[in-house]
Amino acid sequence: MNFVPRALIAEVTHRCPLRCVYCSNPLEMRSRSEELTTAEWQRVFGEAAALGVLQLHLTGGEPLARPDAEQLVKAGRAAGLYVNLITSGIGLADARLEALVAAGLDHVQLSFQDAEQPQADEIAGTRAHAAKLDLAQRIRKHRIAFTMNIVVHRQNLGRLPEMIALAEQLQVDKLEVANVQYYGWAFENRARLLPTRDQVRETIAIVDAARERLKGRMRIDCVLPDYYARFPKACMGGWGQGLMLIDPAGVVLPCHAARVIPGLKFDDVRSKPLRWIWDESASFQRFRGEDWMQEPCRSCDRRTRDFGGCRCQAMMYTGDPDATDPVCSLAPQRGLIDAVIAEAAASPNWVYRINPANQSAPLPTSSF
Amino acid sequence: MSQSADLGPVLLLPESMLKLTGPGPRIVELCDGTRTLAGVIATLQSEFSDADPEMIRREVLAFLASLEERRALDFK
Repeated sequence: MNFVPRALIAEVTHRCPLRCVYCSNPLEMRSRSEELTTAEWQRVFGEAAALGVLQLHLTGGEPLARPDAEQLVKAGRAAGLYVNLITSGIGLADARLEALVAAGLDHVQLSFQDAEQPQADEIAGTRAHAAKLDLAQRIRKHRIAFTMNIVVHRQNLGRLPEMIALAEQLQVDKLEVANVQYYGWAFENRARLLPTRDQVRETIAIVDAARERLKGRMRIDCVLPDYYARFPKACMGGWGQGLMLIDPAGVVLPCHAARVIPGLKFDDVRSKPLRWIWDESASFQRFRGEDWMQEPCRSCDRRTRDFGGCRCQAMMYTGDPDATDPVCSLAPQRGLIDAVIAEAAASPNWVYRINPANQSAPLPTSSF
Repeated sequence: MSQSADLGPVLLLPESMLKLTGPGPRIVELCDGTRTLAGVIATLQSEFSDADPEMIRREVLAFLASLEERRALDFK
């Protein structure tokens, strides 16, 4: 079967001024010295476009920690890609914002941690909220698509109406209400992050009402925690089927968490053409199609829709990457997820990550 | 708007895209920030002179309303 990638998630750096308790970056982060250069990214964007990629998501870490972010935007556009910048926005001054827009930026996705400053700053592990509010107003002055992303979890879902009101006030085109996904650093903190079943129900009701009221002015995307789902998510639209992620050092992955799966060798764009990695490499082939599936997935009608769910989640919970995603109500190991839901009632303290990528090279304060 | 080798004309949006068919690409092209809504409709009515002008008007309005709902365009 022929799969065409449509989106490239480019993690251009792991450096970041925030240290969010649910950070999705891998536990082992890349240092600055390993990062691909401007010219290497430029070549990779061209290779991606030739494969059929249409959308480029510049992310990190904090992509603006790279002094060449404007050039990366320009390179993406030159390759014919729709360029999205996923940013915390910290330290983004007017001149640089204008340069990014002039370089051809199509869309900014600005992350918020809460509607209220103290709680937002607690999650980010640093004072960031006020700067984000200021930046949001400056972004809105430009003619680019603007999305506000709020990561939600048990501690802040009670303020969902205030978050929606904030998005309205900032006149964003789209609000993403994204429940934490329990990978990377978030897995460590999942007992404190997982909402209750009642919170999930309430979220659905609040979002539905807001969608109706704001129709035509603001779109709302809502990602619910799959731990409460009856069936698993079609993770990444299927392994190696439409999406790829490239880490700061150029290693190409089918998803953020793929490294948790043992025995896979992930190739990098410094030593192999992107087309070969997508079409031929063992890691991208590993869960394509249905041959790898076990029961109950193998004979399940939903296998063409959800592809057995998330391989990484299967690995993290069952130790078997070929198992049915344990969130599935049909999975033999569903009890493992139910145990986490039960355990989540107790709230241990946050575990903050230390960002080793920051230590060798501090953020450039003049340009950032 | 972009041209995909295998999908044809597509309108790229934040984390999504719309495959454009029929007169779709032409309508999007006409929404250039300078034309009025009436101007867009009149241009299409003259370009597709075989079709019923009232039907064109209704279909353009419906198409643009769906784009507005997806936050792909603003009426000013």
